[in-house]
Amino acid sequence: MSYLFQPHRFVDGWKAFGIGLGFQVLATLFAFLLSGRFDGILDFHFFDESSLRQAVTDQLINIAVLWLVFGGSIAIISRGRNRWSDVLGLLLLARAPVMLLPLLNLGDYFRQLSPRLLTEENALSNLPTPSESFLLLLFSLVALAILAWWLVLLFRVYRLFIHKTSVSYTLLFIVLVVFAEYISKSLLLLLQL
Amino acid sequence: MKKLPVVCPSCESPLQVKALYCVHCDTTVEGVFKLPVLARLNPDDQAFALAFIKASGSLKEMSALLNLSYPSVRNMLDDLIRQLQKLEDENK
Repeated sequence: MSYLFQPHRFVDGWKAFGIGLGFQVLATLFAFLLSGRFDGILDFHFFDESSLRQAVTDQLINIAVLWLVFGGSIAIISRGRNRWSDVLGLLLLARAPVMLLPLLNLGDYFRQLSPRLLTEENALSNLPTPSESFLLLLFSLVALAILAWWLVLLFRVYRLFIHKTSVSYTLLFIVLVVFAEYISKSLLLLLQL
Repeated sequence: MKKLPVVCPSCESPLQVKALYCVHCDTTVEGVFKLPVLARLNPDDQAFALAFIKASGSLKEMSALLNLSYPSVRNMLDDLIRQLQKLEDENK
């Protein structure tokens, strides 16, 4: 369990970088193969069309933004006390859980279900059946749990490197997450990807 | 081995040494001696300090020895330094 929720306590440097990069490559492949996009550091959506180039660009932008926003803040707060290979490696490793998000679309069920439910024509006849409602609820809960897992890991990595526990640094973490989401989303929109 | 008490169980102030005894010749030296800063660390911190010295001050070696990541060991060392500074200030 410790390795799932506190990998930063046991893995560091290039080893963390290698494992983290491996998970991100898998996440990119899963997103491409299962019609998903990581369109923002906190986002994942299913689309009708997907390309490997797009999936790779999404991931590169997300990782670059994460590295710049969190790596930069960590370097400033800790006054450059940490090895950059540790910071990059553990930031990548913290993002490992998102690789599970595309797998929720195995069988292409949810990508096909969403447009039917969201269409405005014959809205009443498009209401979800009880079994569809149950699956949607389950999907939402699992997706939220994965998102929470990734944010918990990110917070623990951030706290490990800044080595401060006051509330102001927790608030700063929230601001940084929102800022990184805004920047990554804006960049992807700017590139119209 | 018995644990050396470093804090008064009654008022929680730091304890000092009042007597030293030689088990070889039965001599007792009395006075008031402050405990050295290292002796006032808790046993875990003392063990960490000892291991760190034996590892020639190498955090990388400590990381391998404790099976913990480099930043985790770095934070443990920072906590130990902070604790030592606090005890030194108290001893002044």
